[in-house]
Amino acid sequence: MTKIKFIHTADLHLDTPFRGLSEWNPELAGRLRDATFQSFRNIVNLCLSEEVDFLLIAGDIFDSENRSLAAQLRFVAELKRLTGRDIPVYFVCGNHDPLDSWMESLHLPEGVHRFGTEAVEHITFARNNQPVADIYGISFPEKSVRENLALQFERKIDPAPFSIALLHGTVGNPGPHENYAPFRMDEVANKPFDYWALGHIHKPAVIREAHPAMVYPGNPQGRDFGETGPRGCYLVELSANQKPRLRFLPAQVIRFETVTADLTGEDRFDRLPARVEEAIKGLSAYNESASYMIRLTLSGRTPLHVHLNRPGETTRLAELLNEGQSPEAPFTRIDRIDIRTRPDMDLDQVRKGTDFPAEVLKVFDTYEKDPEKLRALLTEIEKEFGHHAARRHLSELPDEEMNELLDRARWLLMDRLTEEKETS
Amino acid sequence: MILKEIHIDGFGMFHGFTLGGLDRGIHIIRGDNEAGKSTLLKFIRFTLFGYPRFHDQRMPPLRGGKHGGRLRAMLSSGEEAVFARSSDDRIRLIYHGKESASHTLWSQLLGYATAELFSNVYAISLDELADMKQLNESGMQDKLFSAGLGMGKISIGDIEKDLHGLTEQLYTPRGRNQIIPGIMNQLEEKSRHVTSIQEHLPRYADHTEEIKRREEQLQQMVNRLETARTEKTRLEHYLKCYPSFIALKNAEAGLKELPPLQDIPEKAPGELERLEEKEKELEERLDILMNGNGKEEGIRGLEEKARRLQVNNQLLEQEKTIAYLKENLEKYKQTLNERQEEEEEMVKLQQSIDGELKKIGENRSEQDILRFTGHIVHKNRIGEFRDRLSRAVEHRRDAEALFAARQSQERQINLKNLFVFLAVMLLIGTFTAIYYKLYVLAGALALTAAGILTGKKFLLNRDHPRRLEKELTEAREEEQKVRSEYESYLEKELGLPSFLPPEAALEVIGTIERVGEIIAQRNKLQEKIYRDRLPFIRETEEMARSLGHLLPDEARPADTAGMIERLAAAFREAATVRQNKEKLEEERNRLIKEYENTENRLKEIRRNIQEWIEILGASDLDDLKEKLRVNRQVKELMDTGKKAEETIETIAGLGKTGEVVEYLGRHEKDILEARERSLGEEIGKLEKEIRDENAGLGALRSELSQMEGKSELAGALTAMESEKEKLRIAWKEWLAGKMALKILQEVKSLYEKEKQPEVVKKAARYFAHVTGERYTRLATGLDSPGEVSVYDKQENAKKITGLSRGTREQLLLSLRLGYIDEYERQAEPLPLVVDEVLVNFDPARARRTAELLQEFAKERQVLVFTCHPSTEKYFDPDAIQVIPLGREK
Repeated sequence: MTKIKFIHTADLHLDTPFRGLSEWNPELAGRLRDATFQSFRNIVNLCLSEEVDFLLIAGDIFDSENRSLAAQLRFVAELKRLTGRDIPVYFVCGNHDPLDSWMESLHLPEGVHRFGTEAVEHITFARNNQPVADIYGISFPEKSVRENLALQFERKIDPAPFSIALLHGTVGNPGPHENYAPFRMDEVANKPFDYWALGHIHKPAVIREAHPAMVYPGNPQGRDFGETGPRGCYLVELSANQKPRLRFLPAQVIRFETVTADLTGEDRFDRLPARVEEAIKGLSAYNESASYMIRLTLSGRTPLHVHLNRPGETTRLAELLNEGQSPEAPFTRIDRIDIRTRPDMDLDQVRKGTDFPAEVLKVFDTYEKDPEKLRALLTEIEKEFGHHAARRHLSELPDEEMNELLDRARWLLMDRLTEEKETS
Repeated sequence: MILKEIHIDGFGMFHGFTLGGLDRGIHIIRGDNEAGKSTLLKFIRFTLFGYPRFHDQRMPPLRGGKHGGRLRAMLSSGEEAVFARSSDDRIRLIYHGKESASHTLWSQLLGYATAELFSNVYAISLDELADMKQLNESGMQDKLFSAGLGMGKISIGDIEKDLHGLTEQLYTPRGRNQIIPGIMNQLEEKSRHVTSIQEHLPRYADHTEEIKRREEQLQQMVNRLETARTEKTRLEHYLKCYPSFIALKNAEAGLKELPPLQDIPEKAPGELERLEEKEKELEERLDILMNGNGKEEGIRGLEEKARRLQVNNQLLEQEKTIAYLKENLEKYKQTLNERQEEEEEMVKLQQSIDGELKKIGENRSEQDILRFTGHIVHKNRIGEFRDRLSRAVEHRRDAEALFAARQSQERQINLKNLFVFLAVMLLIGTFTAIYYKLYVLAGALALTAAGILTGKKFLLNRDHPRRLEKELTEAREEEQKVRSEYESYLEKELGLPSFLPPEAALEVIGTIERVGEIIAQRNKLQEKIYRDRLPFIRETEEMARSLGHLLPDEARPADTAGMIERLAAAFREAATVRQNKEKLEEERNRLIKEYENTENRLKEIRRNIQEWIEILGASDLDDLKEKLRVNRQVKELMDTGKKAEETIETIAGLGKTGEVVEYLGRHEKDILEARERSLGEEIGKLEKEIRDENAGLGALRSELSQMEGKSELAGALTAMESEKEKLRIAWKEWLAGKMALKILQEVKSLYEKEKQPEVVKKAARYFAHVTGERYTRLATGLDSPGEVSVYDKQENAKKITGLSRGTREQLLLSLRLGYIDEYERQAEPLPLVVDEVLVNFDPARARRTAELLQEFAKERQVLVFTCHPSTEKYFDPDAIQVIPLGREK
């Protein structure tokens, strides 16, 4: 029975930065810097250990905006490890790495096929001179391709036992920002391909399990706290007359996660590390031997609220939680701690009163209920911010962040207004 | 509400403590420090509003009891309620006769007041008022304003300052050291770093181009170098060939002058030479053979030598005899010596004999001696005589001695008598002792006497004198007899003189014996000589003499031994001479033989030479030589030429000879050399250029590989991103701070508009009262919102700083109370707690403050805590209730 086995990955984004890290820690610098490369390396290692027939990469191998030399050169170096063992590699260019952004002088080794941009090409993978699979693909010629490239995929006459489509594009209707090579599922579901190897969406997803199978493997290494959870590639086994076997293999070096530790009722500072650890271990698919980058939020009503709000307290707490990590071992690093705790105070209680704090709360309530009013206030305040250079890097606050801001302001005042002055 | 009763189960130092009978009005709770005033206050607060979370703030019971207690109060509605709470926050509310655990109801009954409210609004403390002293105008205004807001201890101004501080720390317009500008600097730096890394990408392509171009350039240089090197090598070769070229040309020229090569066998000249040499050699040899040279004798010489040698044949004929003589020479000498010795010995012996004889007697002769026999017998006899004689003598002597001795004995009588006398006395003594019965003593004395008597016998000797005399005469006669015998014997038997004592006689006999022996010895010796020695000696001397004529006279020694020696020597000499002569002759013969051979060979050689001359058609030897010489010369020149050509070929290459020769023929040597030098320079220059170029390329290549190796971009970009993140966080914090400020401001304005006028109005009432109507009006300024202005009766506005300290404090107090008034319009009142407020006031002020409080307390409950008893006196006694704590409890 004819069978093929291959690994499907995409969106490598080699040599691109991590975003949203609060502190660029020199100790971790090395590991982070290399993380995208290392995760691709892990995928190549998986290809070798699984003895796959070939590797598919569905675009966005690097970011042309970065203009990283290393990305292209090291990519080729890794490919050589596969071609050296007679494992071919087929890939297409995506919106971040369109064909015109690849170095002309970059020489792709024998056994690596980069699909062209003019039309959908196909190439046949053969075993012992017998054709086994046809792989079809088309690359982005330049950055923005808005046409529906999927429609151009047609199976050839006299096909090999398996037909695979390789495409960087968006299925469905994702919104104006992300609409590259969009196509609809129903448009392609009827085409006689066995497997659509897609790329562009960073979150791993099996869109469709069979007839045809359509998979976004996601990027093998998350780069900010929006790309949390396990990341890797898909190992695909196609057998004639059987459902495709799809297996997710993690390949990332560092996992980004956001963790919230609820400190309600906690009044002992020395128990914080245990509480935090508990919250981290409570992550889904928590893996002790993986490295984690954590954005920690402390929440809940706790008498520790005052303590936590002291200047520098979160930094100290983060340092405390991060210490004792060996640079060799997998690490768990708290990148930042956001304090969302409340004092052991019932605001509703205060609200019911008639004193000044109650009045303050009532005013805050009016803003909370009226987003436009809040937005107007915000706009007015922003006018006072005169640092134009900084302003360029600061985007407009979306609504939920605006409310967060209001909440923060509220607590800034309430903490001070309700500070208990001891009678002597 | 009014607290009616306080009951503490266990709280701090209190255990089972009840304080009742509380009501409206002023309660002065007096006690020393540590009496429990603040504990009590805390109890009220905790019970009403909840126990704090932190263990060390909860005041656990130190003396036992359940941690907690209850308060019985009367609400403003007139209803009673009991508020009971234990430290675990379990509440029990008794209201309307019903028990409840509802927090909601509880809060409601308290008018939703919070612990903060109670602490900030309903508590006035000493330090709060004292603060007024230190503030400036705006500080004071702020305090007053805050007071008016009901933020008793909390200053709105402080909050505003704090928030301003927060925001300004993050950003101020034109500020450069704030956090946000700091982050921006970092961001810009990191952005620059990113840009520099990104510039690698275009540079990479450029670099590759540059390297390619320069590699081509390098290749051209290398090619030029090759060309130059090739040419230089070629010139070198030519120049190397130059000497050969010259040689060739010279050879060619030489050959022109000479006749062509003749067909002469190769070996001919050599052969001829050899023959000539050989001839010469042989001729020389012949000469030597005949005449000799320094080293060798020639035939002639030998003959002469041999002739000169004369052989003594006569001598040689006597070989045997001489040999015999020589053999026995030693023996002869030895024999001579022996004879000599023996004869000497004989003389000695003779002397000895004579000597001895003389000893014995003058007329003794040898015959006498020889006749004397039987020595042994004689000796024995004489020995006997000797012994007898000596015995007799001895005997005589003894007898003489005895006799003499007896004579002397007479002298010993007296001695004997003495002994007897002693013995008798002792005996007497003995009997006396017995008589006295001293037996022991008696015994002893008796024994002693006996001893003396006995001893006398032994000590003395008596011999009869006549006997002795007789003995003596006998002895003398004996002796005489013996002596006569002896003397007779001597004379008759031995013929010796009789007076000889025996010893001497013995000696003489001994001597005779000896002499006899010696004589015998002598005789033997003599015989030997005659028999053994002499014949031989004579024979030898005879023989030697007989040959003496063979020696020349002068060489003829006198003694036989010498003669023999000479003969032997002469014989040897003669033998040697004969031998030499024979050798010479032998040698001569040999040489003659050789001579003949050599002659023959010489003839042969000469014949060969002649042959050659004929073969080669020469007229004679000289001609032949000349021919050969010329031919050789031709050959040499031809060889030289050939060798030169070969050398050229070796240097220049196969088949190139003609080319080279032709080339060298055309070009001058110096010109070639000059060209070679200049090529050398060019090559050196090119090599240097190539080296430099390679170095440059090497640098470019390593730069390229560095570019390939660096992958800092992600790191740099991430660092940049994290700065951006920090910026966002800082900015949001700034926004929040600003928002808080703005909203605070809003609330303030709202308050100023809505609430403050009322508060101020109420406060004005209190203030007027406490200042004795001096200041009748308070208002919030319209020019400066929030500021309190004071007006006197005449409506003159007074600045706060213009007021005395006391008045300011009272203003503050008035506003606080005014606020409470206003607050309680819509809320449940709470007891006011006043803490040591009066203690630093002068009496007048203290009294006025007390009045104010009294005014305030008309419808309310005020708890005044103090540790000074004097506090009470400022109050109207009827208006107060004093509650002592501590010791008095």
